[in-house]
Parts: sequence; C-alpha cells; structure tokens
Amino acid sequence: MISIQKGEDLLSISLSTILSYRKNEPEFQKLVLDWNKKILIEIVDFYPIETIFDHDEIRFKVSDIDNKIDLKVSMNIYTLLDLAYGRVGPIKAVFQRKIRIKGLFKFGILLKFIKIFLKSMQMVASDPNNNYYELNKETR
Amino acid sequence: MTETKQRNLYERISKEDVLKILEGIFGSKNVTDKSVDLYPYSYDMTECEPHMPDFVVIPENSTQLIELVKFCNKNSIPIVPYISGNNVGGLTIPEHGGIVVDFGKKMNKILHINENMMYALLEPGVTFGELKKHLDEKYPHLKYSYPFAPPYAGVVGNVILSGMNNLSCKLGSMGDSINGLEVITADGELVRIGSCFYGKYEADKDSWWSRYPMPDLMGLFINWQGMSGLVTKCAVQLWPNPPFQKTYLGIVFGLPDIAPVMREVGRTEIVDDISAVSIEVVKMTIELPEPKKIPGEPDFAALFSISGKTESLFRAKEEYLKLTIENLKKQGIKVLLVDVDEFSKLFSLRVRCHLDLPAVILSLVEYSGLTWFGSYAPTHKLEELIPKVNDLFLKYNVTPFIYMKIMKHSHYGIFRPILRYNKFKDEEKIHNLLSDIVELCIAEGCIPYKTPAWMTEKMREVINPGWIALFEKIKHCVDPNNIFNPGRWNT
Repeated sequence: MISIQKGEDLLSISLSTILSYRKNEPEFQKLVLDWNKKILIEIVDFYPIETIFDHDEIRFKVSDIDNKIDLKVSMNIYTLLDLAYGRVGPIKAVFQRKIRIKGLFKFGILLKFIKIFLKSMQMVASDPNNNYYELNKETR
Repeated sequence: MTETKQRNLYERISKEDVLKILEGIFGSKNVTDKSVDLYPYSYDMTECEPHMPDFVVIPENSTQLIELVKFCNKNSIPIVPYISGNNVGGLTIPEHGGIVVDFGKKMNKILHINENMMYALLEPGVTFGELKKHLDEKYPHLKYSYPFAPPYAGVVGNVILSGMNNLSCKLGSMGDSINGLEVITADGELVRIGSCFYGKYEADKDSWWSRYPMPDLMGLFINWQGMSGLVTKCAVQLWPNPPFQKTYLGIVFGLPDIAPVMREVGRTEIVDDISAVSIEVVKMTIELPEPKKIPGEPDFAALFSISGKTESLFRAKEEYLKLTIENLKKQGIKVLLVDVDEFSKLFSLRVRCHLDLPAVILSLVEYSGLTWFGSYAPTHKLEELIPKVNDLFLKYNVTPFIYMKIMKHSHYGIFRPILRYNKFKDEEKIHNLLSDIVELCIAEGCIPYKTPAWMTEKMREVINPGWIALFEKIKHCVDPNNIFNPGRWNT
C-alpha cells in the first residue's frame, strides 16, 4: 500500500490527485515501492515543490527544500497541460525547451519519473468520467 | 429565541380562533401551531436572531391565500413567505411572529413553458433543481441560469430578491429577467403585472412575455423582501442552450489585480459569466476547511464562461478572450488562462461543483453558520476593497473568502465576502468581523442585497432621507397594517 500525502497547497493537491490515481495498480506500486528519490518540480509562475518518493510513501515539501535533489523538472502550466492531454510529447517538449531538466543525464531517474508521473497524469487526463463522487465513492 | 415582540398579535382575535380559521382555509393537515413543527422555521444559518412563528400554513392555491391575506390584514397578523429557508439574510425569520406561508411543499408547480418567447411560469415553491430537471428532460434546447445555490433553493425567491446567476455577465441581476408577477396585495386583491395584465379574471398562459411598456409596477415587489405583497406566480426568462460552451479558469496573482482582469474580460461582451473566488476557497472545496495561502500561490481563481451557437462563433469568442488576457499580461498583470475542464481533472474534480450548477458547494454548507455581506458593488472600487477586506479576515484570524462577479458586461459588480462559522462558538467574533466589513464596504459605496435588518439599519444612516421617506410612504400605502414580513428594512 502506498501512502500519498494529501496536499495543502495547489501544486501538492494536484500531484496528490495525479499520483493517487494509480496507487492501487501493481505496475505503479512496482515502480514506486523500490524508489527513494527527491524530484523538484517547478511550475513557472507558481513555486517549486519537492516530491519525495520514499518507498511506500510519497510526500511533498514547498518550504525548506532540500539542496540535494535527484532531478529538477521545470515547465509552465501550459506545457504541463499539453503533456497531460497529449498535445506534446516529453522529448519534443525538451527539444523545444518547454521543459528544462536539471539532471538530464540521469537517464534512469528521468525515465522512471516519466513512467510514474507523466503516465499517471495522462491517465487522469484521459479518463472520460468527470464525476468526482463516482470516482471517489468513499468521500463524504 | 425571542418571544413575539411589538404589538400583541392576538388582542383582536384569540390564537385558538386564528387556528380554527386557518384550518378552515387550508385544511387541518396544512396548518400547524405545534412548537416541534414551528421550530425549523424560526432560524436560518445566519447570525440573525431566531424567532418562532405562531403558525405555519401550507397553501395549495391563490384563492386560499387571498382569504388568508384579507384575514391577516383585518387582524394585523404578520405573514412571512417561505420557500426553503436558504437565503443568507434571515429574510424568512418571522421577527414579529405571525404566520409563515410555506410555498415549498405544494405551490411548487412549473405551470407553463413557452418555447417561442422563452419563459417559464412558476409557482413560488419551484426549486432550481426541479426547473433544471424539467428543462433538461423536456426542453433541452432551453436553459435557465443558476446561482451558486443548492438545487433545493427556490427560483422565485432568487429573482425577486435580485440574486445572481451564471449568465450574470450577459444579463445582470436576476430581477431584470422577470417577465411577470401575480401578487396578492394587502386588501386581498389579486394583481397581475407585466404583459399578463390583459384578461379581467384569468391570464392567458402565453401572455407572460414582457415586463414593459406599461408603468413598471413590478418595482413595488422586487427587492422588497416580501414586505409589499405575496407573490403567487412569476414568469422568468429562459435562454437558448447553445451547443458550444466552455469555461476558462483565470489564475490571478496579486490581490487587487483580479479587479482589472474581471472588468476587462467583462467589457469584451463575449462572456456569459464571470465569477472569482479567493484562492483559499478553491482549497475549501476539496475538504480543507481552514486553508492557508502559501507564498507563491495565486490570489484568485476566476471563471469565464463562453458559448456559441456555431463552432466558428465560439472559436472567435475564445480567441478574443485569449487576446484580452494577453493584453492584460502586457500591462504587467500576472494572469494565466486555462481550460477549466482540463485543469479540474488534474487538480480535483470536486471543484466542478462551481461549474455544474445548481450544486451543494461544500465550502458553503460545512459549518453550522453561514453569513455574508452580499453586495452590488462599483467595480472601480474593487482594487481598494479586496485588500482591505482580505486584511480584515486575517485580522480576525478567519480564512479569507471573497466571492465576486461582474454584471452586465462590467456595468457593475458583485462583492461578497462570505463567513462560515460554528454557531454558538464563533458567533461574536464573526459578527464583529462582518460589522467591520459592512462599515468598510458601505463607505466604499457597496449596496447589500438580501439584507438582514441589522444591516439595513446601518444603511439608513447614510441613505438619502428623501429615499427613505418615499420608501416608507410606499410601504405604508401598499401595506398599511404592516402585515407583510414586518421588520425587514426596519419597517
């Protein structure tokens, strides 16, 4: 079971929504459970957010961000939405400098992050169901 | 709970005799004087002092109500109209006791839909949910407009109190979208106002199509909070339901900067509705009851709805909206424009309750208490008002909740700081905060609507005396025995 922190700021709320979508999937669990990395996501115009993959736990930090992060990904909100909705692919976005990556040559980390985050985001985006209460039956 | 105040209501006729007469009019099953039945009608979510009615009646038709009004007028017994008790102004609390007329139970029929002239003729108890369901099922090419209100709130109460809707940027106040009214006046006369005035006894159901060009007597009943007569029918305008519709989300950084963004987008004349909330409200919607804003977060989220009957018209509007936002950016305003359908999926689908109206909005119902300063506002004052009111919220350690709208393509706006609270716990603090907000906003020219009596008392201090004198003359003229919802506007 993976525990994902419930966010209290706009970006961690989003990240929590995106990452929670697949948290019960074996493929997602396999990717996350053996991972211990800190990824800094920066959405231009907003603020940086440190996403901590700590095996069975995913947490977010928006202050006192660690200097030693494993990967930094920076983009604006429009690129984020374009990636999610398939209007641009990650490679093209990097070449067009719509995404800036610090740690580009840490291929393993980058690839795994794409598999975890980008795939989850695209799955959330392509779900035709817009009804929160159908998708979250346990909610009040 | 306060006792029945002012006059002794039952000097002329005993309460027992009143009960008998009411049972004679409405039938014993539709009248109650039992405390257990009366209690729910004695309070609402606001800070307004609760007060028990003496009777509640459930009418079925106008004939019964004419009898009731004549009887009450003769005996000076107050009548308070009630639909679902959802207003945020204590408007249906029977401050002087008397008889609550509950329209919501039986006088809740959609009497007619005229497809050609696009209106719905309604009894007062029809709710937003019922009207929407009826239109969606039987007239999908027509739509009504809905406020940020639950589906069980009443349509007629909203229009005759000049409430909001989700076409406000195009249409303005809901008071402007009334075609006709049927009202019982204090002497028991049944009056039809609007084009439905033809017909000595009955109006043709297809005659409720316009408010003008006769003298506009509707003004005697709109915004009077039930003080001038008992509305028994109301014709409200409907609109074509265009096939192409989309809502954009404007994310605005900088508290005062939301004001020019809303104004400029409003002036484009292409947007159906503009509403904005403090960013904290977005978080409240997803079960964070007391969220804090963190550095770097935006200050406001605004919704811009556009629609078109053809795709090319819709795309042209979309392009113009984007161009307007780009121009605002060039002026140094930090604003991002995204498709709200796309954004809400990645953020939380729960925020869709702000789009799929009418809806129960968690942030408005999760506390036992809810109150506001709901006001019509001069839009050029918003830059000043927003930071000052935000500071007041913070001074009282209350999470800011500001809701705004742009009306009629920026001719005026709605400025509504909203306060949620635990009744019996935070009441004093919230009332002090609200008082401070009221004083500040009235000084800046805001005019509250659906106004509780304590707020109209403050307004009276600054209103032109000529206006008050005329208002009181009219009230006295149409309701000489002060039977209609007494106490409202300090009458």
